[in-house]
Amino acid sequence: MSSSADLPRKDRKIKPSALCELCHGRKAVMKRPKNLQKLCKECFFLVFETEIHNTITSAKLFQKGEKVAIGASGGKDSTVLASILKTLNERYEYGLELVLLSIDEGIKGYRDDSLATVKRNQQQYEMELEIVSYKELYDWLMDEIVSCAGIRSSCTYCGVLRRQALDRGAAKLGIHHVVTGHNADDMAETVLMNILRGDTARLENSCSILTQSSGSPIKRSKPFKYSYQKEIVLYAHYKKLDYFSTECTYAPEAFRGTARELLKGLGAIRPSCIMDIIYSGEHFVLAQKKKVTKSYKNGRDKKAATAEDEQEINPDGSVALKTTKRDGNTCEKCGYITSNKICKACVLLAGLEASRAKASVDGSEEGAAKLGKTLELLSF
Amino acid sequence: MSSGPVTYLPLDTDDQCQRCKEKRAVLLSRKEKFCPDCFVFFMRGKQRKLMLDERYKVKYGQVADRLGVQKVLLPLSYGASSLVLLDMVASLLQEQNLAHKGKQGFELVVVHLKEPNLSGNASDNSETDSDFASGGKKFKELALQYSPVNIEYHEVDIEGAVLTAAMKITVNNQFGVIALPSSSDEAEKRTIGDALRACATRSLQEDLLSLMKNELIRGLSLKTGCKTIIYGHSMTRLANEVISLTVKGRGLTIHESVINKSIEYNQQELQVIFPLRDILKAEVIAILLFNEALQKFLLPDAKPGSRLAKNMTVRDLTTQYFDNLDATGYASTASTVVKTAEKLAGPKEPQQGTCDVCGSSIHHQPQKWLSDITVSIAAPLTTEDEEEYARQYGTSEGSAEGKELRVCYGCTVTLAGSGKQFEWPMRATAQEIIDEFVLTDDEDEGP
Repeated sequence: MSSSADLPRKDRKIKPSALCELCHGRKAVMKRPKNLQKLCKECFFLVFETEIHNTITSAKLFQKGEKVAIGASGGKDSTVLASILKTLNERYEYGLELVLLSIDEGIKGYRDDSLATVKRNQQQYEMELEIVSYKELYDWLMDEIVSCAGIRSSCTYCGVLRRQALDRGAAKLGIHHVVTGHNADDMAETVLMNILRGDTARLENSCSILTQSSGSPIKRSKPFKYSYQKEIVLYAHYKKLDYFSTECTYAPEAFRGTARELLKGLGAIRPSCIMDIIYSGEHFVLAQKKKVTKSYKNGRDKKAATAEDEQEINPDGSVALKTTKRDGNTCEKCGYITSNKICKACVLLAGLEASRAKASVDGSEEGAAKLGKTLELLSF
Repeated sequence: MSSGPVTYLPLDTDDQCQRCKEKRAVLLSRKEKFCPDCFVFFMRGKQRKLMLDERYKVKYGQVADRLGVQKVLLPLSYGASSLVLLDMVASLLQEQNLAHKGKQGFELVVVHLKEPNLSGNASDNSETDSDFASGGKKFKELALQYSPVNIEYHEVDIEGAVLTAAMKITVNNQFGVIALPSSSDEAEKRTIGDALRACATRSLQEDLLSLMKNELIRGLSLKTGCKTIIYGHSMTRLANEVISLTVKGRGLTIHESVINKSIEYNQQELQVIFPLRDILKAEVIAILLFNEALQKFLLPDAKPGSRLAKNMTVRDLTTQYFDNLDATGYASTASTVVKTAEKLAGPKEPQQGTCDVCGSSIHHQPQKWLSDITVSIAAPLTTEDEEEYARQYGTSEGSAEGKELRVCYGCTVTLAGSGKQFEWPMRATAQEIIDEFVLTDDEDEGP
């Protein structure tokens, strides 16, 4: 018996109401954001990890011996993801080979700092690390793109380019599976946004945990699909994980911002709402499209255009050749998977090249983000 | 008010109405300038378009024999939308009645559900009490405007309805919903109002109350012989409803909750129509503004309770969200949301049963889904002290045993959040309320 047990009990007596609601043996230290259950640290770790294990096994995400790349930004989500996958891989013998894959977008004052965190994580978790930069892939830094295309569309560029960069980085390592730290809050936000924007094309599959396509050898998955952002933060906090907590200095996506605000308010009055939205989102089913009879729609015009007569005009002004669109189509320029003739990244980059000449060449090596951060630090 | 969906023109404007080209325009809506009459006419057209079916027209000969006397139920809350809908529909009947020598396309039945006072503050509902205790006096005055149309009127008091079949409901750690029959004498004194007030948050109260109202309205339509229900929901309100249902985990029911369609209820076919679905809330308010006779019946929208963030309900927040979008020039979001909802269908999976609480169909196993991602296993205890605590704890609380109910996802989550030993009736109770608590029933009175 340890010496602490010999101390008079009364001095350290925990009231039953202050005990963990699961083990009833330890003092509760936190209220679980998902259901407001009072839990001790140990039980929280166990339930949080087990839920992720359940998510992984019920979706059959991994195969034994698979090599998996963790999209690591150095932020809380990907740091916790790396830590938990390592834990679960050992505990449940997934037999995975885990590799950290980072993207260097080229944002001074943001990404260079967070990459330092990833490098420390590499040591802590003893994993291989690969860094792919926009500069080497596209010959552009995000800072240059912003100075060229403006700060408002920064997320559009960055998002499209990063998605491709992750795939290319994985391909370079001969890996066919990338896991990302998208959490339940992100999923719920996306569900709300798709409804608010009327994006029916994405509505049905916005919550799928695994996305893959016949045209790309690389599949991506989100093991944190059901994990609350707040719980990820708590996990990182209690496990004392080393992560980088500054948000990207470029403008956040405006419309997502309004959905995020709404979600924040809803979460305060209904903690389960994030799960509830995902449940709704997972079960949305689109009705079969009603057939529009041509004679009714365009009765007077007997020569009404049929789908075969239509010409598709590409964003660059050329006319598309008659090919049936199907899953697995690839970009004519770079060979990346796309549903169009040319992938979005190539279209965006072509637009950028056209205006590169106009971009100021003032020799400054510091991007707008760095400037913003410096200004923030100024005090009067 | 420059960027909202309805812009009121200054009183001294020289602009003419673009429809009649005679009267002075008073507002700008949908890129057109309207005088009050033309605006109301334009909006009425939208309601009529949605009620074009033969069954709502004046019928003669074979058609009349086939369809018989059609009765239409209109739930009236005395809020802006339902008042405007009542005015539109009653005016339509008045027109039909006068033009066809007393013949009408359908009989109108109005139902008012008296909502319980949930704020716990008696003064908040004083106005409602004095106005409605008279048993529809207010409504008789309102209905006079549409003479000679006779409108059947009923009131149902939700507050006072006694929970005879009350069940204590507990949701266990595996999200099973367990019903424990409560001791009989204790239960008889409790009312729906009491049960709602015992609910943990306003947001959950609202969810349960709307389930109850929905069930009551459907039940009342059967009892009054109505084969159609028309709701006063505006487009904004429907968009709101879509988001609320999604947020409450009831996204599966969107396709049957906000779309005009016929549903089957207790083996009877019921048409559910939202005739104001093409009209924005701001436009409904404008219509009411031009109708002074109607305005005085408006029940102030002042929601009791504080506006503290944590006291808001899901609907409060989504309403606020759409109001903000309106004010910032994104009024079209409401229309986008409603149109998106119209493209949704019911689940592909076969139905496994119906929810014992709300009656919606169940196609999946929500309990399995929930317990997979909300695990409740304890980490092993390591010290003797911890084990001692657990032993003491174990004796202080017994485990729940009772009949496990079949409950949908939305109800499971709501009940789980409502607190331990929360009392809520099963769905069947709605029928008892309808049978016992129809307060006024003036269908026998002549015109």
